[in-house]
Amino acid sequence: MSDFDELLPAFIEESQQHLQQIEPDLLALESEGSAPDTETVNRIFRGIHSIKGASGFFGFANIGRLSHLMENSLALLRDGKITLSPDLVDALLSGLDALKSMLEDIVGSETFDIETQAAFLQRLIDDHARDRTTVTVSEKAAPAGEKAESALKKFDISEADIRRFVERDLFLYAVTIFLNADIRKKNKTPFDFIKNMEAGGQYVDSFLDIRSVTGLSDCLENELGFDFIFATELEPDAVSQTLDLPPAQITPIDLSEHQKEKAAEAPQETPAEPSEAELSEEEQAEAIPEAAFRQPSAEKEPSTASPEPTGAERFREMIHTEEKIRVGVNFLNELVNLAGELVLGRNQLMQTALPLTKTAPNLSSVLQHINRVTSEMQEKIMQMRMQPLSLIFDKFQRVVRDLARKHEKEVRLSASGGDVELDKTIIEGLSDPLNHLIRNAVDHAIEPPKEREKAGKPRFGTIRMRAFHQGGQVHLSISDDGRGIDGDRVGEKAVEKGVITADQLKEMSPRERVRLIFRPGFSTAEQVTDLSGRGVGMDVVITNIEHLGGTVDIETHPGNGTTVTLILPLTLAIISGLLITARDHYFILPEVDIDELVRVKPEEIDRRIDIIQDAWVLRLRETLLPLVDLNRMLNLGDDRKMEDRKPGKESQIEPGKESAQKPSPIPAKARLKERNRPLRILVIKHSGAKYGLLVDRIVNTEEIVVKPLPRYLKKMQSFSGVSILGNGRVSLILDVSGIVKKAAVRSLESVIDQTETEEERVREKETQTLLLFDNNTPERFALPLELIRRIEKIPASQIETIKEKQFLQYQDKKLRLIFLEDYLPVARPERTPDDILGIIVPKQMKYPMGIVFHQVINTVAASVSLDTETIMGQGLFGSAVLDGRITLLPDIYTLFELAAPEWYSTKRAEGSGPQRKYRVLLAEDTSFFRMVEKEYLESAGYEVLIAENGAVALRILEEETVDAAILDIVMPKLDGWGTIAAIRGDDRLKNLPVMAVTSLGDEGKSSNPMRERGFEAGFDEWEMKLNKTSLLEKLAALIKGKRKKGVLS
Amino acid sequence: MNRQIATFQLDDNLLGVDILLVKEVYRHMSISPIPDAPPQLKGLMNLRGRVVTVIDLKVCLNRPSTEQVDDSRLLIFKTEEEILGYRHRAGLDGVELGEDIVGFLIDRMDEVVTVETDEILPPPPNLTDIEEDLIQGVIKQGEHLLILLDVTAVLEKVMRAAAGKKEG
Repeated sequence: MSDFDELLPAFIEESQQHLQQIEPDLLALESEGSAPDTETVNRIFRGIHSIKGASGFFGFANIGRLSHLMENSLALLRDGKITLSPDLVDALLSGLDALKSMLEDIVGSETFDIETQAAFLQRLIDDHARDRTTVTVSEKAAPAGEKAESALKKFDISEADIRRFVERDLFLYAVTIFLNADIRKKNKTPFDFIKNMEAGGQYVDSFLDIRSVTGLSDCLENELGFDFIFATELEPDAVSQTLDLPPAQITPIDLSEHQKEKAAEAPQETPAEPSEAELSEEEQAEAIPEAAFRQPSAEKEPSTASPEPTGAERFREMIHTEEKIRVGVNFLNELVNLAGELVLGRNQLMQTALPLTKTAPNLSSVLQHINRVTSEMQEKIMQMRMQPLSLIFDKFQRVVRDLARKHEKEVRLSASGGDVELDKTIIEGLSDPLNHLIRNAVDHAIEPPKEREKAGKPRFGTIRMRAFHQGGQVHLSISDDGRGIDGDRVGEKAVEKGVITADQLKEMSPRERVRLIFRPGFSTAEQVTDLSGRGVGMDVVITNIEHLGGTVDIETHPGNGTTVTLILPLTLAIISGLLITARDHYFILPEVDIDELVRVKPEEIDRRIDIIQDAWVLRLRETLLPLVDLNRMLNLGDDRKMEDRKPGKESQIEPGKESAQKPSPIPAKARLKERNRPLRILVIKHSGAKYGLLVDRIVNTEEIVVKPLPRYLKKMQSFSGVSILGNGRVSLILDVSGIVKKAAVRSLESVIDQTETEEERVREKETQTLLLFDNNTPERFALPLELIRRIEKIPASQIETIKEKQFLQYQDKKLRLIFLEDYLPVARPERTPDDILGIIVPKQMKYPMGIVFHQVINTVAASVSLDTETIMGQGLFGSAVLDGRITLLPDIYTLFELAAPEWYSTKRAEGSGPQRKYRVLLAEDTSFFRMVEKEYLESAGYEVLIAENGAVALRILEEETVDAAILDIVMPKLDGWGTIAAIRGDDRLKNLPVMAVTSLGDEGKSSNPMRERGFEAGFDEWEMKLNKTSLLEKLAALIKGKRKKGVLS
Repeated sequence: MNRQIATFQLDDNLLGVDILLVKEVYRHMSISPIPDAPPQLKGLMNLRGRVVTVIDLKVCLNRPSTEQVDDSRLLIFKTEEEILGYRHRAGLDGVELGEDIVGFLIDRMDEVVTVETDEILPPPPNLTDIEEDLIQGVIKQGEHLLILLDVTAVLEKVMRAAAGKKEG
């Protein structure tokens, strides 16, 4: 039937949407226990009701019958006639499943066996229903002349319903509609019609109008008529208007007999009838325009209560629904691909056209415009593919409930962050792994209630699903409060199953043993149910998640539970990548996998690169990391030979068969040094593993469109995809987890773990808080919060330009504004006078200056490891990986010098005395400031000795002679106060010029109590962080002054 | 029934493939090599925003690899999807090109010849150094012999080489 072709998909889709909503509602009802929430019951009821109604249009008797039964049982529940028993929920759920199956195969739905479900529901209804008897009603005799010849139609309606309608003074109408004329031609779906009907009253039942099939010979084209029974308080002409149907298709039903009954009962019942809720609804109903809901007739009694929920509510809902159109996924995917191509084209255009901007003045703004529009368009298109996690979260309520019932456990599932959105592909790919994790948690992790009580836990176990954004990725954790995983037993099992050898097990840390459950072969054959915790098919989880570009972390506490965290990218198609080289090959490393960039100078190689049990490791802030050489890994570097294996040490480590055949990825130390240039190491963090990857060169970061690997390359472990770079060349994307596997660095983890635990204790965490911001370009910037006095937001129109310099009226002064793009090697943002700009006003400025930026991204507390080589330029301290992204740290004072050279004239070589360089001790705990101050001092010609805290400073002072000392005040171990006290207490040092450089104290004020205290304690100078000019001037004066006094030789 | 064969030179041989399989011929290639890949895989190339896998046909035919890529041409094939419409044509059943675009490195293109299907003869044994199962048939062209390549078989050989590389 042609009418069906168009309407059927809409029916199926909408019915499925209803079912999707109904299931969580049902489960929510059950968890609420004995007092079901009326609103939820009503919502379920309405959903089923709509399906029943719409199925009538198509003559799907099976769907209609089942939903009718479900509706009846829900009506009983709503009216409080039955209680919400687990049996009822079971019956409804199984009905729901049957409806789902029938909708999936709509053609076969009529032959689908629903007897079990129907009988189940019918029994529940029969048990409890006292008055589900039906009565036959007929249409009111039509006025003479119109339908006189036609027999009156008769309908069977439940007596209880009729009674309710009569009580509420509703009219009953038989409404005939024709699929073609009334639905399809008006561009509606059956659901639209039912919604509309429900808005004005209550739809009761539908019947296929047999008479119209046999009798109406003029009605060709399969014009089937359906009769709907519609209960409403509206008069016939209003009904016709509301339903958008010709009046002839609406016939009132004769309820006179029942009304008489009611009249007889009225004195007792009516006054008590309207409840409070109904009254308030009535008030709402009065608020609607007269035209839409005219009060039916004069003889109406005043006690009328409106049907529930009122038409007014419905109408409002309808008005506020956003208009939507449906788009096929294929179409969307094509759009995504095209957007990818566009981004690619944009990148190539930018690279080609950028050099031309100098000669073509308008080109730059055109490029910026295209750049911005492309980015925005791509973002919007990607957003179209984003779906909330609740789509998969919701179905697990059911899974957990059913499983728990089966295993006679009590389990609660709580989910948060269901509104977090991920790309459709990722959402789909998550379904299986999550299913595994949740099932495992219920099956194995959560103990039976009695066991839990014995252990002092609540009877019911709790599984939590939590999703949140962090660092541009989505973290999804599944935690239970069950048994936890016993790493030792996992290990034994793994040995038993031949996954690892007993010797290998010995080498493993507890953490690594737990991770064995992710190994393929660990749990595929038989279920490891005798093992505590989880374990079934976990290799599937890790494979699937890694396939999605994500990682898996596991944390377990035996007896207390397990948390598995999935870390997922937001989308698959476009990533931010670091372009690196190995030999003359270019590769992309996804930026999210990079923890930090490390540089090892040739003279540091001995100290920072170690051999532990025949494997190479990198010393990084007192921890050890396995080191993989990319060139060796990819068989690129023929000039670096493998170091001879030391036979004595080999027995200690079991690299396994496969790694023995592979070339060791570690080059000889001597060869490393022979290169005679700093080593570039990327610290990779992936799935709980962390290792260093030695590369030749770091080029830059690039937004890239990920394309799938050609099938010929799929078997190679080292790559995860390909991309086309801005210069048009094809580049392979490195697969960081594949590299770990290929390099077989696993065996190292245990070594590292042992060393780490010892060294962790002595490790000092030096973190500092940084403000992350951007300049409306892809680059990210950061400044230490300590250096910032204020952040202002101003409209760009407030900026005044005087002699090509920008100023802002700020606190009665003219604040000189610096635009980052004018002085730094960064992209130039598009600026319009309507922009709202951010201004960073730094502390400690001799001349008022401000840095213009776009918006604050975040503040992070991080231990910054500053890279001064990868991306360098005047006005930059360097770069660091912050919040998962490469971030530039502008050197604001150099920037100001560049911007206003007239204000800053640093005297060179003030650090040199008559014969030699002056020597300065610098004690500073924050590596960032240490580095910056050192650079300032060295640029002025000083020789600098470094101490991380006061204690180290004193030790150096014992052995070395210095001309001056600079101390930070807040430092671990021994702070500035303690250090100065010790210095002044030492006869040899009591006249040493010592200067405090700190962020303590109020800047700019002449009376500074902290400063006073500093002088009392013995400091010769008190300087606020961090003003290069002032620091150098004061230091020079200090040394000069002491020299004059003849203190220094 | 006739077929059109795109012919090309490779070393001293005249080889050919069905023209319906050919997307285009390309020169001035900029190929990114694939590290640690078997020699059959010469690299990857950007063809107007799509990635082409460049296959060294000489290696596939058991010859020394192509040294001077600059002098070569790239014979680029259609994808599975693009030949869907020609599936019913003579000689094209059973052709599997895959979803990725591939290109063969060749010395230079020659003319397109039209042949009757019955002119295509089974390859005589020990014809050349080319493995027999990579040859669909031979066609006599005057005193020369045109060797019609089985593209699917060549691609499968590359796949095997790539998979084998991992184990070795």
